[in-house]
Parts: sequence; structure tokens; C-alpha cells
Amino acid sequence: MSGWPPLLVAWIGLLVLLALELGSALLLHLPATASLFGMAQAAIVVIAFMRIRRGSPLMHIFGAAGLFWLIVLLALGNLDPLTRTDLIVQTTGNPR
Amino acid sequence: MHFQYSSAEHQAESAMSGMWLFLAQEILFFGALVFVWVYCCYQHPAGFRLATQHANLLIGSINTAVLLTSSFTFTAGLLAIERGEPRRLIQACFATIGLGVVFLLLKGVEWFKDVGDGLVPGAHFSLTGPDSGGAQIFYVFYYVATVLHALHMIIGIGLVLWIAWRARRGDFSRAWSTPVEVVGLYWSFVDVVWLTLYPLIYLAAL
Amino acid sequence: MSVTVDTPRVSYLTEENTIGSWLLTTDHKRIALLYFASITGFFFLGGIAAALMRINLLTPTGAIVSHEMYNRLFTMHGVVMVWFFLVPAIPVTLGNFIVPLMLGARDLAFPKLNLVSWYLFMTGGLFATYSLFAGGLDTGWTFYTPLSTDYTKGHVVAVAIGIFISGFSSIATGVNFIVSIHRLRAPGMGWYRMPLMLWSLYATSVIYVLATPVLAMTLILLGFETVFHVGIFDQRLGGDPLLFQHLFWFYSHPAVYIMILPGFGVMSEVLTTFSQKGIFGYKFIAWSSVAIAVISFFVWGHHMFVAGTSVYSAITFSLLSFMVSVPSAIKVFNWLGTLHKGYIKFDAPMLYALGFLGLFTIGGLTGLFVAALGADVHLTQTYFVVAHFHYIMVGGMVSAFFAGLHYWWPKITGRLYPEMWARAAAFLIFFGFNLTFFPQFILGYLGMPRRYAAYPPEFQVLNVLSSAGSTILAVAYLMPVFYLGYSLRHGARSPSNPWHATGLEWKTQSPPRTENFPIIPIVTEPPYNYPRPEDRTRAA
Repeated sequence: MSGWPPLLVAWIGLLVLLALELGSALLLHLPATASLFGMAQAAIVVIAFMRIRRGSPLMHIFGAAGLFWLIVLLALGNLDPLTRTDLIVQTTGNPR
Repeated sequence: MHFQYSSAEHQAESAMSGMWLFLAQEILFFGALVFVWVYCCYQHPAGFRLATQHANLLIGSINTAVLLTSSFTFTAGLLAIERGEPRRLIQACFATIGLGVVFLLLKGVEWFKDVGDGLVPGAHFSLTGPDSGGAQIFYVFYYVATVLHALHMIIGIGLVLWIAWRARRGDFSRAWSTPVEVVGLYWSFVDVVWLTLYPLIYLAAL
Repeated sequence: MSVTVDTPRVSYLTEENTIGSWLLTTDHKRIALLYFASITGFFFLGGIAAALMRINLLTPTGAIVSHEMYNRLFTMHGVVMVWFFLVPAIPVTLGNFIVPLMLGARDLAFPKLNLVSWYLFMTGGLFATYSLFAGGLDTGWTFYTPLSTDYTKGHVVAVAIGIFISGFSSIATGVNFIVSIHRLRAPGMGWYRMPLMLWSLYATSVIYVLATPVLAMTLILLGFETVFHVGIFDQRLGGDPLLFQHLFWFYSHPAVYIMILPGFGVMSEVLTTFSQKGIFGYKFIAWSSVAIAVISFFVWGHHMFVAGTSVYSAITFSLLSFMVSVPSAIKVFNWLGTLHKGYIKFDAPMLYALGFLGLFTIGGLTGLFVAALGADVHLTQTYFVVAHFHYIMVGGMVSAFFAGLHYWWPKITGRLYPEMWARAAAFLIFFGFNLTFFPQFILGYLGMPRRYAAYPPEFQVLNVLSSAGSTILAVAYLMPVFYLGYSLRHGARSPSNPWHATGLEWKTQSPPRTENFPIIPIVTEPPYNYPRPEDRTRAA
């Protein structure tokens, strides 16, 4: 991707996605989708502005490694809070 | 050219690779904050909802558009120098810096309003009730995330200024513009960080 | 190429010797020496703290210092040894020196960044050290909340800032190594022609670059909470102290492999050289380094088995922790295979390396005990854990550091060290180390908790044994300072390849010139291309 037109298309696309993000959260009451729009926007920035497709395989590996380890952090890290058993602590027998 | 490289191209691609690796590091840096958000939002859904309702969606959204545009202008400058037009690159740099400053000013206004509304975690936090704790945790996340992002913006503005200065000195040409590309990577990445933070701060927990 | 030994030569050491030429150098070899000086200082600082602790533990009630002082001592020992010695140690000193030489390159990919990393390291290191002296810190090196944020009176924020700053020096080194290994290999040097040291430093760098930022963010959140007395770990708001532990160990467990992986690299170099035999299972050793770097990120939860994490999380992390031992075991078996039928010479580097093999194996195997959920409930927070990780980090990693230091000493300085003294030190370290830490396994198994200044009288015998061992260890660690220092002026001049080793670093003069190689070498053979044993017998 090179030259002006694709760049302009990407910019307009990003603004449209921003509008859709707002719309889906406020009008359709689907706030959770906002992050998906955010990811789509991030992907456009990476492709159009950071020109990842012109990068060497090495750059792709570095970017992918960052993402992979982020997923490890999110997945393994949230395993604990998502599966934790909360024990109710008795508060009545508190010695004064 | 440093003496460990065999050609200017060899050095240029190494510099680009180095920047991508640095950005991978940045993914994990801000990724830790995303992890914090997910972890705490799961434990305090009502508190995060309450807090998100009080975040300044208008300024946040305008800022998102401003930042997207700044990435667009800088990339346009990169295209210009690759066609051999340093004047256009300098113009693009200043457009980018202007948009970056607008972002920071708006951010400042937003912080000012937040503090005025008593959205400061601690004894005088204005959102009371059973969900106050979760909301305060949200605002800790909010301040840490936005301040760190703003610091990255300030560094980015400095780098773009440096590019403009070097372009004025005539360092870049159609044949060689590696620093422009490297700084562009950084600037757009800071944009990507904001695109990730924006839904988390203003929308996702609504 | 052969260089005559006794002609006076120009080298990176003689090039220009003003203070400015050293402090502003971008030569990787000089930066390595700057790092050597700093690292040595931090090692002895941490060592003094450890010695004071061991003296204090001679009597059940504490022999010399108050309980508060004891808490500060073990914190200082931990902080300094982990962040300012073990994490940087081999990569920034030996690695910095040897990586471009092994690659057949003139320097690292980003020489200025390399210099910046030293300044970051020194800034962070001096900042943290000053805070540790000026007011002390008593939270342990782990900074667990809420102790660190709400209760301690120590300088949490200042030390955290020091670690934060030096963290960026790790990241800079990691970026430099990875890009250099990808981009600066000499013509003909494919991935499988690289010395295994480079594979393990590559794996180390992956952890540097991808784990350190999470620590940085953790320290920011910790600092925020300590300063403002409100934060995400704050239970009064419903925050979760376990979140801190998750973030902290996401860095600090992989950091354990930052500490040991470079040691693995040194082992592969030293064992092949001193058995004059090709490495056994090159690809297995190479890829097991990468496997360790990846799997090390999957195991951090095993530090929190008894902290109240979910059962499912604990079981998952326990199984993953067992997995990480597999590649480490692969390495040990391949090294043993390398020794088999080799022409073994017991020079000092080899003695250190053999010490590593034994001590690391004990440290690694006891790691399996604490990775098992049931056993960990009994052993966690006892001296068993202390002994386990000291076997890996001190017995393993510090032995490997000394092995590498002696091995490359002739290349770095151009001088040979006194062999008999070095062998004696290697023996003493092995003996002193075992006497210090083996009793701690027993103490831990019997239930003595770590981080206490006092203990029940029945533990005294084992504690006195341990303290006695630590004095031997202290003497043994001081010995190299003297005999290596002596060799700097009086040692015999070294030829370019004193060990008859393979590897590009031995093909240039000792010490090398600033540009490393007069002409960039072309690699035409696999690494460790020693004559095979059967060919030797035929020749004989």
C-alpha cells in the first residue's frame, strides 16, 4: 500500500469506525463491542500508517511476539480471578 | 554509517527492526495496564460502570479523532519525503505536533474537570455508595494510564520536532529517510495505545 | 590467522586511555569492562549483607544486629543481588564483550544504546543503593503489598525508582543483542552455526525485552499506591493484593531464567573446549534455550500456591512448572553426553563448569519438589526454598559466571591467570557453597521459616554449619579478586587461542583491536568443529 489514496481511505475508515464504536455503545447499548472496534482501528493503523506489510519478516516476528506474550499475560493472569472461590468470612464473632 | 554494517540499507533495516522490538516491549508495558483493567473490572463490574459513566466521553472522543488525524499527517509526511519533498515533510511534522499539542491541552482540560468533579481516589472521592471502592480503583487505572500515555505523547512530540529540524537541515532525501520512518512507527504506536485505552476508559464498562 | 605472542600490539585497551575515552566509549568491549567494575561492586555489597546475616544466625536469638536491621539486611541482599548482579551479570559483561566477537561483527547493532544502558544501570543502581543505606527497606526484595504500601517505613518508592531505571538498561541490552544476532552474523554463519552461547543470550534477551516492561508498570502502580495511599492493590477499596503478586511474578519468574540461561551458554562453550569435542545434541540445546524462554512465562503462579489463588489456577501453574524442567534436563543430559569420551582437561574454567553441573542439577531437582502442589504447602516460605534457589542462582549462575570469566579472561585482558590459584578457588567455592546451603535444605524440611532473625534452639547446629560454610565461600569469592588482579599486570601474555578452542572470538588477537577483526571472517564450518574421538585415535 503506497501513495495518498489508501492513506486517506484509512483515515476516513478510522473516523467511521470511531463513530460506529460510539454508536454501538451509546445507541445499541453494546458497550463490550467498543474494544472490538478499538482493535479494528489499531489493526488499520498498523497496516496503513505503520506499513507492516512492507516490513521485513523480522519486524513481523517482533510484533507478533509482543502480541503473543500479551495474550499469555491476559489469559494465564485472569485464570485465577475468573475461577476463584470466594469464601464468606464471618464477621460476627469479632472480639472487641 | 557505523562500521559494523555492510551498507546503509543494512543499517536502516536494523534500525527499523530495533524499533519494532522496542514496540513489542511497549505492548507488554501497556499490556500490563490492560491486564489490570480486565482483572479489576471482573471483580468490580458495578464500580467500573459507575466510574465510566462519569468519564468525559466528549473530550475523550474528540481526542481520539485528533490523534488518528495526527498519525495520518505524519504518515503523509513520510510519503512526501519518499517522493523527495522535504518541505512537505516539515509541514506534516508541524501539523502532527499541532495535533499532538491539541490532544495534550484537551487532556489537561479533562484532568482539570475530573479533579474539579472530585474524581480523585481517596478520602474525598465524590462517587460514594457501595460501588465507590471499585470506582476509585478505576480512577487509579485512569490516571496512571492517561499520564503514561501523555508522557509518551510528549516524547513523541520531541521526536517529531527533531525530525522537522533535521529535515530543515536537509538530512533526508528520497534515497534515505530511515529516522522519519522509525519515528513514524513510534508515533503511530502511541496512537494504537490510545485506541486500546479509549474503549476501556470511556465505553467498555458502561 | 595466527598472531605472534610477544610483539607489543595495539588493542582496544591501548587505543586511547583518557577518562573520557572510557566513559564515552561506544566500543562493546570497553562497555563490558565498565559493567565488570560495576557488577563486581554490587556483588560484594550484596555479599557483605549476606555475610552479616549468616553471622547473625549463629545464635538462636541473633548474634549481632537487631531484628529490624536483619530485615533490612535480607532486603538489601535480595534487591542488590537480584537486580544489580544476577539479572545483568553474564549478559552485560561477558555477553557484551563476546557477542560481536562470536558473531564475527565489529560491534553490537546499537553501540550508543549500549553505552546508554550502562548509564541507566549505574543511575538506577546508585539510586537504589543510596536509598538502601539512607533509610533502608525491610519488605524483602518482593515488595509484597500491603506491607510495602501501607506499613513499612522504608524507602519503597526510591528503591522502586532505582529498579525501574535499571530495568530499562536490561531492555536496551536485550534489544541490542536480539537485533545484533539477527542482523550482524558474519557471512556464512547460519543459525545452526552459531555458538550455543548466542542462542542462550538470545533467549535471555527475549525475556529481558518482554518481561521487564511488566515489572516497570508494576513498580509504577506500587509507587502510586505508596505515595498517595490509594491504589489498585488497596483492600480498603476492595482491591486485590494478589494482583500485585501476579504482576510481580510475571516478570520475576522469567527473571529467574534471565539469571540462569546465560550460564547455560557459558557451559556449552566451556565443556566443549575442555573436552576438545563437539557438542552433543546441538539443536536440542539450542532449542531448549528458546523453549525455556517461552515456557518461563507460563509458570509464575507457582509462587502463589498458598496465597489464595484459585485451585484451577494452581493446578495449571503446577503442571506448567513441571514442563519447564524438561528443557533444562535436556541440556544437562546433553552436556554429560558431550563429556563422554572427551579429552577432558581440568583447567579452572572446567572445574567451575563441573561444579555448575552438580549444583544446578540439585537446584533444578529440588525445584520439582516445590512445583508440586502438595509438597509446596509444607515447604513454601521455609529455608528449603532459600536453598533451592541459591543452588540455582549462586551454585549455578555464579559458578557459570566464574567459569566464563576465567575462560575468556585471556581474551579480555590478553593475560593468563595463575592456574593453581584459580583451581583452588574453584574447589573452595564448590565446598563452601555446599556447606552453606545443604544444611538449609534440611532446616527448611524441618520447618524453619525464611526471613526470621531468630529461630528455635534445636536448629542451631545446622545454622552454625551453614554460617561456617559461608565464611569459606566468602574467602573463595575474594580469591579471584586478588589473583585476577595480579594477572592484569604480571600474568603471562596470552596467545590468541590459549585453549585451542573453536569459535570466531579465538581467531582474532588477544586482546582484540577496537574493530575486532581486521577483515570480517567468513564462516565455513559448523561450531565446535573439534576432531572426532575416532579420528584422534586413528591419528595416534
